[in-house]
Amino acid sequence: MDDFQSAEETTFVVDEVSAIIKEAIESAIGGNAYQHSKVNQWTTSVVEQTLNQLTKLGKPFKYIVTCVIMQKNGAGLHTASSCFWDNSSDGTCTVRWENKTMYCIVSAFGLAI
Amino acid sequence: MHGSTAGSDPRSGPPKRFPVAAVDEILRDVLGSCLREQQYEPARCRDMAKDIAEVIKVRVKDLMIPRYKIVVVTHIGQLNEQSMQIGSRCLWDPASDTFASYVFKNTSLFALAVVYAVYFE
Repeated sequence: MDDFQSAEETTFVVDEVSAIIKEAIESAIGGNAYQHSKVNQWTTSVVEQTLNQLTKLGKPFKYIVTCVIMQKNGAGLHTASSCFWDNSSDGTCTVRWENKTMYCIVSAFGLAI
Repeated sequence: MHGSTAGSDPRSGPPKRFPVAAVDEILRDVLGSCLREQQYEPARCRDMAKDIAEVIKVRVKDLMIPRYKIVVVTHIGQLNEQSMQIGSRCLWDPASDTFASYVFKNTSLFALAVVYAVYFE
């Protein structure tokens, strides 16, 4: 069994993942106004880019990435999550982003293998 | 990403597959009973989202599927003529990992609950 891996390599590092998500959102939808016809493509793009960058970290983790893009219309949205996992190694990170016309909420969950 | 595991054969997969249909039923039951006839109210729905996620997690745990980690995500939102897209993608082993989801709608709100099940090798 590998006991020599440093803690960094086997725990979910929130700051690192948060930076990855922010960059994915900015590059996919930064500067765009809400457009119904593009939203499908945008969510796919944000999620795929996030996953690709997370994979590049090379950590022994499985990942779940969820993206919500919502038009700004005065409507409310609540999101909650509950997880059954190993607290010492697994973790989650959520980034909320907005511009004048839409909200984007991305959550990433990392589960150690 | 294959470390050597002492004892078990990593290719044998999970001994008991995750019962997606049973979890769909749990989601339908919990969302339906908690939200039927409810109006959207910010404070109430915020607490509802947390409670629903917790209840779903507990009921899925009660199914006693060995070696699976569970992530439950719930969204509750107001129906207001706005448009919304919710998507997710996972990096996992499709032979052993899976998910279940359910959307509930009434005249004033919608709710989406997703359960991801990840096999712990």
